[in-house]
Amino acid sequence: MSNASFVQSLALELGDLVAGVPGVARVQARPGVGRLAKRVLGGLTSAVGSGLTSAVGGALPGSSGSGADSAETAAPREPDVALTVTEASTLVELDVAIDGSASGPSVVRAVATGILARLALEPSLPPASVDVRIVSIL
Amino acid sequence: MSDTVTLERLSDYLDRGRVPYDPAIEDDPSTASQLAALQRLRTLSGRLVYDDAAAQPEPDPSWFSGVMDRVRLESRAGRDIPLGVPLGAESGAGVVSLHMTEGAVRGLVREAGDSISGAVVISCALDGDVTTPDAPVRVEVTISALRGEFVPAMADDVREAVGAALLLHTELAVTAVDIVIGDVHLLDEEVAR
Repeated sequence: MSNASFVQSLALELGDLVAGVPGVARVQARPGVGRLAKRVLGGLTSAVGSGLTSAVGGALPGSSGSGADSAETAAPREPDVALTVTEASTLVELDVAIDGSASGPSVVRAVATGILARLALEPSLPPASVDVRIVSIL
Repeated sequence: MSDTVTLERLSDYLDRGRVPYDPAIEDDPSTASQLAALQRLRTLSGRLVYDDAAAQPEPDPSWFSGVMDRVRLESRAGRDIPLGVPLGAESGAGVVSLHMTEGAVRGLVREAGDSISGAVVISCALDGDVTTPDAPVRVEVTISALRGEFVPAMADDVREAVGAALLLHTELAVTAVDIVIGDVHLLDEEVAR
């Protein structure tokens, strides 16, 4: 699997994982993240997110991908989770709407814990940082 | 994004019973917050009549749109308010940053205040450095009060509801929730009498 499709697939999986966390009403792509990533694309190994489905060369450390996939990836759907992987770090960014009956801080902590637990299963990825933002309480 | 959705479009969407589903309205936090506020206001709108006697020296003939203008302004994302300090990577797992938008907090305050019978939240101010964890923050909520309600009790109810909502959903160090009665409105049946 190429870097781009691996990251794309993982981002989609993370989005589904977050959507299943109790108290999460909706997962949303963070506005602007894709644009920002595009601007610094030259320094990226691979990145996906709303408005950004392309990848650049450079194999992920330890991954089986050739790293030569620099073409636009035809994604069946756009991930709501922005996942950016460089040689040194993995960054996950997303916005969530929270169910009003749940405690916002507790829910986003559960979200972050779930994401880190999932990423821990990918030894090829560099250390991950997670940035979760509540954008509305429904 | 949300600024392109006009009040008229929101109003039409409510008229249609929110069908067909409009993602430009429902999926945008700012616009969805405006929609929720408009829906709450509409519940009252048929009964609201501006109380000229209690109004400011120059009563605003478009009180309703004035409130919605404020809602629109305050529903924008604004600053990112941290939920605790970012957690370090003690276990090598990475850094976790959790935030809440200022717009989400204001929406929370507005919904809590509007839930009190006779109160309509006009504006909400967060006074303090909300971007610094544990920094003291004073919340000022300006409301329109229904004439005939015992205003001090209603203000207490709004204060309690807002405080409880902030406690549940944020980690702001709220030092005070101050309620300002911006104006007084009355029901049309009172006018008819």
